Amino acid sequence: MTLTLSSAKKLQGRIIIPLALATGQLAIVRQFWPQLGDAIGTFLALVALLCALNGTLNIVRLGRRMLGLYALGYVLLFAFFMVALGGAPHRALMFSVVALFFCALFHMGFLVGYVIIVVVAYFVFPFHALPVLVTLSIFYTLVMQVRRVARHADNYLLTAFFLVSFLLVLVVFFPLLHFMVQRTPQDLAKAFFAADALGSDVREAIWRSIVTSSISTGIAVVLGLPLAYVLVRADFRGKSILDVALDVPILIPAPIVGIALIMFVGGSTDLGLAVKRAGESLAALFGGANSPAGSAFANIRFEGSALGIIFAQVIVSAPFFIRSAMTGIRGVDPRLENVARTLGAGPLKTFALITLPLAVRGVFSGAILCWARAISEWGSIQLIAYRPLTGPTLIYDLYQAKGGAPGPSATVAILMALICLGIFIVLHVVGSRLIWRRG
Amino acid sequence: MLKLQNVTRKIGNFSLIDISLDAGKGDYVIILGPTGCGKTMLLETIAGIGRVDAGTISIAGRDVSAVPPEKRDIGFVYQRSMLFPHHTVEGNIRWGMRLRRLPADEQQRRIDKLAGILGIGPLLGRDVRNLSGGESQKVALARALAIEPPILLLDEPLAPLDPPAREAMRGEILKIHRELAATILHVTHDQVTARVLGRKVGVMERGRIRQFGTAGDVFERPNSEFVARFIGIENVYSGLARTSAEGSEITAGGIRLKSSSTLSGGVGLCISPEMIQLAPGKQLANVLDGSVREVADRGSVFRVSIDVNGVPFTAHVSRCEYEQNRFGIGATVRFGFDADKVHSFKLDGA
Repeated sequence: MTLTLSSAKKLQGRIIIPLALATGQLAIVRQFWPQLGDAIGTFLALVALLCALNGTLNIVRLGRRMLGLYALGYVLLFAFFMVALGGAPHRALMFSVVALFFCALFHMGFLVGYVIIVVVAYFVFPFHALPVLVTLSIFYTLVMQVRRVARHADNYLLTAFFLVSFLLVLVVFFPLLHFMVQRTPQDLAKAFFAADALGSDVREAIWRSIVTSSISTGIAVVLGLPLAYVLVRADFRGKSILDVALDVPILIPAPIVGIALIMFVGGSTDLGLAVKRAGESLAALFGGANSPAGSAFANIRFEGSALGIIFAQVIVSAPFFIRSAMTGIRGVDPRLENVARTLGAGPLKTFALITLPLAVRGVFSGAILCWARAISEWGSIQLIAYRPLTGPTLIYDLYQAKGGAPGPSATVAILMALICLGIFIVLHVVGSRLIWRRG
Repeated sequence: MLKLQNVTRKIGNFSLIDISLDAGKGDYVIILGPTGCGKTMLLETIAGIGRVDAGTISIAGRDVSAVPPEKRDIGFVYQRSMLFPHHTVEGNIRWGMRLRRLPADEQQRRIDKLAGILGIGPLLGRDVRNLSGGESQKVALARALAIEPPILLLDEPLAPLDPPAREAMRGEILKIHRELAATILHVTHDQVTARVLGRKVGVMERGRIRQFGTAGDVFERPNSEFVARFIGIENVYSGLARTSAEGSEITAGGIRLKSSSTLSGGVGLCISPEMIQLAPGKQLANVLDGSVREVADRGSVFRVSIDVNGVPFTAHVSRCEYEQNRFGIGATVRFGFDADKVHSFKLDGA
């Protein structure tokens, strides 16, 4: 390997220029920020050297224009931290970290945007750093996506629609996002693990929400799957009426469901009393209301109990499962079922071995949706069963107790939202993994 | 082996009407008909997917009209192969055998045998979603055959294939028919497939079987204008037949033709375009002069339209014959056909 004279010169230039720049910066820092001392000054010079080398050694790939932008970015960062923010020692160190990030990420242009967002969030809005960081990052990500769509799809309508949808996304998610970052993780952990009465209320309510909505989903799946199959595969009189009726629970306001339940199975209705009597006679069979087995039966009722909560949840959430399961089943060609029949499978085996595995996407996402709807139900539950408390009723309770100020209710609300979101995401990931493998 | 008697079934506003046919052991039956004539519905009815409204279906002498499909022992292959997308090729072929709890070595033996006959050995581990059309059809065929059904129903399995794959698949099906001695009922709209494969042929129109008989019967002696036209006979006329001792003479559109048919009175008649000779060398019973209206290259043959005093005739001429004569449009040609090529049938509704 021999270097020609000119390439050797070029290489020297690529090393000498950064050295000169770093030395220049060292001199400037010593002149204008004497309080930083030689140690920090030298450290900043080393950072400058690294950044400059990163630019000059990559000049072939970057091109002159990008190199200019890169240098400008560095100068702006320097000006921001050292001039605008005053250049105290901790600012100087912060500058070095950000500058190194900047230099590492510069090759991936869009990542620089995130560096700038971090800088803006933490140094311009230090008191709202987290919400600003999240909202700006999402905004920026979406803007980059719009650019991508605009560049790749040679279709202005697609770009225009994307911009419109982007507006909707902002309207829908920003209030929630803003809300989610109102508490620090420490606040949330403290509220969840608190040893006081509120802490145990919070844990119990959230746990109760998870358990009841899981049971409701189970009921919706067991009873709804056959209904979905019948609605897709069979033709019968009244099918269209049943089909429309499925949407009624989605349509009517939740308190109506609650009042309807109170009038149907409430403590003072005939059915409510019958349930109570049946429970008492069962309790007598199992050793009286004071025995452990008997007491469970003695207290059977819908109003003000987990049973009532589940009843309300099933009503409002089952239609979501049925709709989604129907979509899944509709996607399975009935001829596949016919082939399975001719190969020797009876109707039940055909359903279990062909229809269900092939409709699993719709069925599974329907179950997740159903679960999500059940856990988010509040309006009807607070009427039929204000206690025992579920997550949403507890949040409402706390909110009312504070005379309408968010306070602790917001902490619990964020906690609940994060837990639900976590479970939701885990279920989706697990589900899509499962479904990918099976096809 | 398989016998349908007066089978009638209505779904929505479509009906199968009074269908009767029978297939002996080892027969290859083709049901030929245009799209939408009820062929698939007929096969599904035989397989037991839905009950008949009237009539009986019997297999090996046993009435199965009320037996569910899983107990009928019938192999079924749809036009679109309908492989189970959540199983591999091998999983698909094993599916029916697993349900029947066949011993593992027997399953393996059948898979090896079918893979050998159909040449799908290398595909066994593959995902069915990555197969070509021809490969899918072979796998669907193997899946249906793995349960060794005495009767195999094929619903246009060749229709989605490109011509070379179709040609190859026809060969595979014939091979299977020979080696496994299964009774096959195959529906198609393609008369070439019908001619190549069919021993018995039925022609369907709007839910009815218009003619059912041996391949020779149907292709040489169609019983109606619909059948004649559907099997590709373009020269169909109606005329008046007079029968005498030496055969009959039919007058159609002012042209007198000698025929060996024995019907008399108002008849329909047809002449296969392949049976018409241009510039005939030897003496034929019917010789006509006409002018060439159109010549179309159909690949293996040239289709020549000839006008005889306003009556159109179509002849199929081999490429070799065409090279020799080079009929120009408007040229006068002499053509002829023997008396036994003029087939007559009773007119519809007569």
